[in-house]
Amino acid sequence: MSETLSASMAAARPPRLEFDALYRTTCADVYAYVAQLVGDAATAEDVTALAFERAYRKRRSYDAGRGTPRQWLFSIARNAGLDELRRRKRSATLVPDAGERVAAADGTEADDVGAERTDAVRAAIASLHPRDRDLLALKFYAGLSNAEIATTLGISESNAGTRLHRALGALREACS
Amino acid sequence: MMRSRPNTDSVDDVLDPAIQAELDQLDAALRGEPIEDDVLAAIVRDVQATAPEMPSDLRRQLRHDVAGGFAKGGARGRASTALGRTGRRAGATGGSRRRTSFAYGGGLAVTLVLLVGVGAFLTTGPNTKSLDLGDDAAQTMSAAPSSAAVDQAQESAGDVAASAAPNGAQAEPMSAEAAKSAGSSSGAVARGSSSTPATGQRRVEQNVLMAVEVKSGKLPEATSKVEDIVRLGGGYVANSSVSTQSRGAGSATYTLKIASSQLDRTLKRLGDLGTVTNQEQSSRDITSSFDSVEQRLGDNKEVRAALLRSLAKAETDGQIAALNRRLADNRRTRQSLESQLARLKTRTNLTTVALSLNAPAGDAPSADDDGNWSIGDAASDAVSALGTVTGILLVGAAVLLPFAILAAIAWALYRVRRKRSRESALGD
Repeated sequence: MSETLSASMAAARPPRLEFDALYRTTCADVYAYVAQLVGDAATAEDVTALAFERAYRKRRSYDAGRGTPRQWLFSIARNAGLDELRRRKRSATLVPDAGERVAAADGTEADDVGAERTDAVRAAIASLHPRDRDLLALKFYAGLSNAEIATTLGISESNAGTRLHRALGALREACS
Repeated sequence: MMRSRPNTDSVDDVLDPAIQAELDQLDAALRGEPIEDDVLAAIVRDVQATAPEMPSDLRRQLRHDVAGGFAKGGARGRASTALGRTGRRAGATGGSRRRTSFAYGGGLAVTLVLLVGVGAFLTTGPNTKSLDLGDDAAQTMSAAPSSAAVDQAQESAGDVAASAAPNGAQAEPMSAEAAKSAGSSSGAVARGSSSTPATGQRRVEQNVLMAVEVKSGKLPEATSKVEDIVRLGGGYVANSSVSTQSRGAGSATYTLKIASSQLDRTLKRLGDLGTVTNQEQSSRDITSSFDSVEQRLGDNKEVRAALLRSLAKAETDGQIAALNRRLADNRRTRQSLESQLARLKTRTNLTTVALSLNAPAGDAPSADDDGNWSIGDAASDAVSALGTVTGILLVGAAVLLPFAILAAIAWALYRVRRKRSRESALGD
């Protein structure tokens, strides 16, 4: 009887955020997304660390009814990244050094053709509007669903789908 | 490959089927599933290949921080040192500091608002508090006028006595003048004066101050009984003031005129209305004043008789006119003396009673409380406490509501502004 009661109480209790598991499954994606958002590796490291720290401190305020833990975390990371971009706009613009620019991991360019292709795609992404880059990063690197993207951006799901379609079209054109 | 151009302007809830199909294929490609759109598949592959990889030192550092619960100066501080980007870090973390400051500032503001609200509430006070103060004030007020009434009554006796003195002084020369004018009759006046004996009865004016505490909520009943008791005592209510408050509290003050012969019985009846908390009785012997007025009145009558006799013997018109003037003066003096005598009789026949009735509030222990705890007392206390707490909460909510609304509006505006500001970082 008591086991049934405790089980039902546990079921009624809101799910607890397993922060360690969340970190393990998302850290690489958060860094990739933030790096794409802010544009340089050094700032990306700072913002990534800041995002996880903010998420950790706010973990008790996480509300499962307002989104998945992954979407919640990427919202925090996006806000941290946007804060950094905004700060750059206010102060002297920090132009990342060429050596600091975000680069794919060493060893992924197995051959020259592949390297050229990667550079072309990177250049195509860089040529996109920042909003489109943000949207594609949320899709490709953060791995969010359209509904999660909509929640993160504070727009409707259909609006998010439409914007994603436009960004994808722009990327197609840039890659062609 | 020819692609039909979908409607991308619509942001309705339902996506264009072509867009939806493309997004479905995108999701499938991201999951690693084969899709029909080869170009899209290649783009997905290439974009994923360009994904920035997390540096291993950052990964180690973050893992350590997560395991350590981001202790003070954790991820940011250590990462700054390790990566040597303190300057840039300051920029990245400045916002957090600002937000923390904002949070502290907001908390401080809310605390101040709460303190102001509570202070205002305590200053203005709930009804119950003012009622308690009112009780004290009522008690003080009930006692003060009563003492004043006694003093006033004593002073009034003095005034009458003093007023009698000038009249007496006026009457004395008049009687002498009348005696002189009456010639041989003056002896009769002197005899009359000396022959008017004092009655030997003592004339005493009494004043009573009485305070009675009645049970909570019983004040209206007691006030109605007061009038009946006074009527039975052959007196009347000269002055009254009744003040009722909530929770059965209230006070009443009376100035009563009671037949002195019925005083003891009446005071006992008044005391039976509740518990006598104070009773003071003072008396003043006004026999001398009384006798003085009576004697002067007797002299006045004798002078009048002498004047009438002289008038009967008067032969000239001048004598008749002079005697008539003196008779008129004599009549006015007599009327004044009779009025003084009537007032003195009233003061001796009727006793002034300054009565104050006080009913405490329901939760205050009454004077006749037996002091024993009972379930009823506990329930009464609980209900009273609940009512007080509810009142405090309601007043507090009323005070804080405008501040809360303003704070909510400010917070909403701040969030909207922050969101717009963030989004503007992406450029338009």
